[in-house]
Amino acid sequence: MEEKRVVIRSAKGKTLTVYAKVNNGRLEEIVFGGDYFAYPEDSIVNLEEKLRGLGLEEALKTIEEYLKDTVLLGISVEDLKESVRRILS
Amino acid sequence: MVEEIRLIIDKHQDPHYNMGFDEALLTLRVQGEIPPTLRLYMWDPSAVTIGYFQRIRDVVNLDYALEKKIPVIRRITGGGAVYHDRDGEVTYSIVLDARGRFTDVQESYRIICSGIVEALRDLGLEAIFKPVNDILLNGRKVSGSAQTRRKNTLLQHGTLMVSTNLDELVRLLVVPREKLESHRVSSIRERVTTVSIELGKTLSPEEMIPYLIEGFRKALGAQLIEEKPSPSEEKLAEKYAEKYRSIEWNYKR
Repeated sequence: MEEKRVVIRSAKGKTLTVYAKVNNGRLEEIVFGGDYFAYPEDSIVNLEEKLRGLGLEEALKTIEEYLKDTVLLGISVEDLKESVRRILS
Repeated sequence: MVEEIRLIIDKHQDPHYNMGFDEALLTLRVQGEIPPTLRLYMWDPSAVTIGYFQRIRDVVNLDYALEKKIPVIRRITGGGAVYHDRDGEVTYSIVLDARGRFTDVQESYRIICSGIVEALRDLGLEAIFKPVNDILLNGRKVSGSAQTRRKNTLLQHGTLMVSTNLDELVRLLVVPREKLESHRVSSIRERVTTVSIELGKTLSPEEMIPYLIEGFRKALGAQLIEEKPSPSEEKLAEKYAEKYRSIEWNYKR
């Protein structure tokens, strides 16, 4: 098990600070921390749950699908995906 | 267009109660129990609030906060960490229906923040709104806001540093190195300012309040009618305050 921290300064203006526990190329736990905004907020917390146990490809697909109806401010879906790419590569 | 907005002025309240009151405003507006409401308030003791998504131990110097008995409270709104100086800061909160010109999130930030921009301009200061949620004086941050939405109702609250002790702010708040670098500064101290610093004379939070009332009146195009909080609001605020006192809530991330 490996602990990772990734910081992304989004072009949208805010900072995404991601913490994850990785086991064999899969996310054991992930927290999308930072000073950004998401509407509704729950969608991020629920996404973190959904990502448990997933590898890179599944995780990227899940982020894309799960945030379809979420309004992000200060960061983008691409920032969240990029953070997971960095964590799992 | 909103024509009348209720105004509540709450000086020097308990930090947990303050966050509880804002959440109570949101709940009661969603239920149609209260009209659109603007609240201007202060804190006693000083406190730190953090954004909903932030990891508490990464954004606050917890040892120092504990030593100084400064409560650290997680908000229901996103955004960053804020130092609410008992003697130097005014906070506002507003609940409105998220429709018409308030439908778009970013645009609603701009409209509501222009209440503070107007207040600062009345003082002769060149205030600029910088999306997403900042207000700058001379390129430095003097105010930040955060908004959440429930069922077509928005709650936005924000800070205005009038005469905040910035040395204390620097001791309390931790900013990721990556964020400082992107702003090309080596410490958060270089990125923030207060109304008093920019005016070149000390203004107290109490003295700022009339400017804010006038600024929000202009920005919202509404009449502000001052009222006392109702007993049901105070009761719900107290109930929510318990959540803001709990380790489970504040340390959940």
